Amino acid sequence: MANDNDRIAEARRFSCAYSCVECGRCVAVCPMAEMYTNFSIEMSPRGVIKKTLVGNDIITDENIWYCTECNAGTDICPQGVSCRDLIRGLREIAIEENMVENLKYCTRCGKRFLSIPAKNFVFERLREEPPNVLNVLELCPSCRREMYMLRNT
Amino acid sequence: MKLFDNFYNMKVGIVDLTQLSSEVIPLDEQIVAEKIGGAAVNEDLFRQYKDDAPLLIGVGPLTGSFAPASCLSVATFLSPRFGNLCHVPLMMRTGPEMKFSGIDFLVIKGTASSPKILHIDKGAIQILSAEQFIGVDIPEGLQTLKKERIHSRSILLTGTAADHGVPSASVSTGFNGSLDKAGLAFLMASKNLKGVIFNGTGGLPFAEDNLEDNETIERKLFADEGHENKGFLSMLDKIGIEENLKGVIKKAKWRDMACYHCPSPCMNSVQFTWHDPRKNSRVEDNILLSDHLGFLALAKKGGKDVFPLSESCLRFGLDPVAVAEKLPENGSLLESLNAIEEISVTPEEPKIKREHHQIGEVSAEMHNLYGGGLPPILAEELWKKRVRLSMILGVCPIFLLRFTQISELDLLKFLTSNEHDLKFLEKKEIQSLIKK
Amino acid sequence: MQEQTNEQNNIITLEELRPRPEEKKTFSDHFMPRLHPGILFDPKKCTGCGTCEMVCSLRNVSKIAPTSASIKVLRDENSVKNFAIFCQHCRKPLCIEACPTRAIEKGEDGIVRIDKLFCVACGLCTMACPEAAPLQDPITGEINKCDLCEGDPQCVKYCPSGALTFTKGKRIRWIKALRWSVQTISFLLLVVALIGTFCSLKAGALSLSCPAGVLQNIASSGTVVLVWILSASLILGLTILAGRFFCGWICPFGFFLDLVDKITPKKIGWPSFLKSRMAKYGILAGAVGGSCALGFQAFCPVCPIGSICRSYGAAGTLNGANMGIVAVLGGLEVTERRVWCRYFCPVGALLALFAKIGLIKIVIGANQCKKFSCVQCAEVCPMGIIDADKLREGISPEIPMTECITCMRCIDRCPYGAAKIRFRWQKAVPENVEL
Repeated sequence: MANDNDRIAEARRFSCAYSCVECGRCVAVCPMAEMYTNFSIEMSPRGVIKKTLVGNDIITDENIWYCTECNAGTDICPQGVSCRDLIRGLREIAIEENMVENLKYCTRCGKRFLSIPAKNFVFERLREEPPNVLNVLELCPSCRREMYMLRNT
Repeated sequence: MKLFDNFYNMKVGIVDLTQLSSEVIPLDEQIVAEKIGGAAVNEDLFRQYKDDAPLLIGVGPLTGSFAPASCLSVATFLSPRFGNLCHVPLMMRTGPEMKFSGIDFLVIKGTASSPKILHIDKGAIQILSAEQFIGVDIPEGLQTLKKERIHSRSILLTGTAADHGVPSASVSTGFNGSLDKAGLAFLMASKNLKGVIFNGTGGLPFAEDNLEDNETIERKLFADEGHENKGFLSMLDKIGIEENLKGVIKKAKWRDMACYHCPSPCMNSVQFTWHDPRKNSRVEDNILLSDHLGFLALAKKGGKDVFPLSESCLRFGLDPVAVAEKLPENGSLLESLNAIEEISVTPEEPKIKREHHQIGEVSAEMHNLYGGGLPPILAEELWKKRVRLSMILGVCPIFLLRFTQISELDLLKFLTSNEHDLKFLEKKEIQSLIKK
Repeated sequence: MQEQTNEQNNIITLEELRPRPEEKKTFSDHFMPRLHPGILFDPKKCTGCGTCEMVCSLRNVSKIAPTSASIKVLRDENSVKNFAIFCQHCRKPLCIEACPTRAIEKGEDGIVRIDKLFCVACGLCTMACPEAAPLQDPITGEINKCDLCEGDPQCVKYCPSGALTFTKGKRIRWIKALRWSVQTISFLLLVVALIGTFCSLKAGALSLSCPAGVLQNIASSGTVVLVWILSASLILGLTILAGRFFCGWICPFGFFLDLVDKITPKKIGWPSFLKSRMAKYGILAGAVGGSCALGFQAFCPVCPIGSICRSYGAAGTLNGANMGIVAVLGGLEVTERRVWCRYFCPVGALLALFAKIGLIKIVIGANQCKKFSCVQCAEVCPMGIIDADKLREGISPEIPMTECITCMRCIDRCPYGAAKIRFRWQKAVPENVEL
């Protein structure tokens, strides 16, 4: 766990989290507001950055799993904070501590490719599709393309 | 030279396998201005690093561009099989992907203490451990790469034959073999280099009139009969093949395959079922046929068993021409397959071949200078000119050999449309830039 | 931690700001639905040269950079096959459903576009697409998705082997135009011009009669007259040649049902326990048996086909009780299309027996079918005999020619040429070659 604290410190440094001035531009462009009805400050980029800066228990927080890693927050940040790099760094540490319940695994190749909250959002939007379409969506994009090719040739 | 700035990254990658270090240094503009690129620049770099027994892989200015069949990268090295400096053409996508991954020329020197594989991505070279690739045949090696999630868009891999130190080992681009008959795989194995992986994500700038120039070439192609009868078969026809063998290939022909941006495919992928005497069952296989001379050599010995024999050679990473010499004269399929397996595990000292006969219309000496795999379908002088031109500019040599109506000027137009520059390039007599 | 909904937080979502457009159907859309444009890919011709990636990336990033293209060429080492992945511009795009910022829209011209103004490159469109067609640029991170180059796709232009072709999408389709014309002419002939026909028509020496009627006649009278057999055999011969062509193109009651279908587009579904295609054989058997027992043609008086045929004219029975049968059976069309033809028609049953030994079959080649984004053939088939689930799995469904009325709506609608007509002995898929 002590090792984790070092790594969290490294993630903070790497993403320039200390430069955050809490202006909220990242929250304004974040697509999570559109995706989750329970969108809250804690889930937003600003909230995650803040929590990371004040303590080390961000790893166990479920709020780091909502992000889609789109990078819109990084693009608009006037201070150069990369919320995506921070989320990625934190998730990597969590994965190494084997906290992988919030990750979706491809049913064919086993690769991790999406977070569960984002996957639930997509499946909720597509709930009226027939089951064999939804089964395909359980695969990662590379496997989907390969299966499509195998079916068509 | 400003002319080539758009066509190169202007970067050379230097890998020292003994020290397990790599660096990327800028490419000297002088060399490019003098030697243009490809095999000619390789020669220059070879002289620079010759004390370290280097292996050089380089591209030409037109590699990756909109010029037709711009797939070429050239491997230059001292051939363990022929004894002289050789330039081996590597097709499929090796050239463009190397350029897109940020490096124009790769110098590999020294010998590693354990098996290594190079990974080139976004201008950086990584030396990775290749323990898990030793002792597995090429298809399995490719699967392992996939499992390790190593991003790759073009792979040069050696097979189990190279691991065992067989001199007739041949490097393979993916599972498609290559035209390496000069012992590139043997050389790589002696350096403990299992392969090179390119992951190209960059790009090349583009000039508007490239589309027009492309169309000019396409028009010339449509009028050509060789383009109409495209594919593996038309090439075999040109080299010379027996009628009954033609029938076997025609029946199994599945689809034409082409390299990067090649409008006139010269390869075929075939799907065939055969009775495997070792497993005593029917097996279905798919292979890509790209090595014309190798195929003919195997067909001479094996007749209609040529497909499973080719598959075997591809699997172990062996040169089919050298293998065919060792196959029993009227052997059964089982005997031949066992012989190939035997060859793939028997190390030997490479016998430096000094042949003095003709291969097609080209002398053996000239033919071996360029890897020993290019089809000898033109008279020697013209053959030499076309191959050299292709190897310097970075365009597929087979394409230029097939279509002699495509002139040097047609290709240079892709570099520049400035009259002054074109004249300068023509005067250089590009095809004379390779000294050896 | 209080969980507040978006409403309480006063967040206006993009769903509200940019609501999804209602699918506008113009008048002509009902009768001549548009086929939307798209790129067709023939894997047999693809050489894997990657020129399509090169020209596509030119449009996206003004450079030759195959990884920045909107089309991706997959090269499978094991089977040595090539395949191009690109946006199919589905009829009901899943990416539009999943995009959280409402950046994707399907235009009037049928092209599905990503508006870069709203796109944040979250990649959820790729996650929603069954073939993961939107591609993420490894350098810029943007999502590149095919937009058909606004109607002039470059990849199609520069593909050297012609593996990529462009279909513009059309409105008027010739088989449909022909079939409606033939149906109208047949209706006018059989009902208006020549009264009481189909049941039996005499034009000089030529006579034509309903095969079911002839069967009942034989059963009831116990005699076989060669002329009857010959006259019935015209229709039966047609059936052996072209399946239940009569049902799809000539039958006036079928024409009437097709017209009713046009004004009842929303179907409420037929109860599944009544869905027996064998029922019509039972009715045929009953008609023949009844004729034998009763001594006169049992079914012909109540036959709706006959009723329509005899309805027009001075001696017509337009106001008779028979028309009530026609009206009731027409009314059943609100449940499913061609209910009469599927489950009850004895004439159809007799023709089905002959179609079973017919010369042709309808084939839907799974290799060319686009599967997820299309299955229009299954939706447009009036007899409901195309298995959409099998198509989505990539398996060519078996089309029972006893049920198919050879209307060829599937062939007409399929933009990929996957639905086609073949002789029964023709193998649709090329075989593996043995050495």
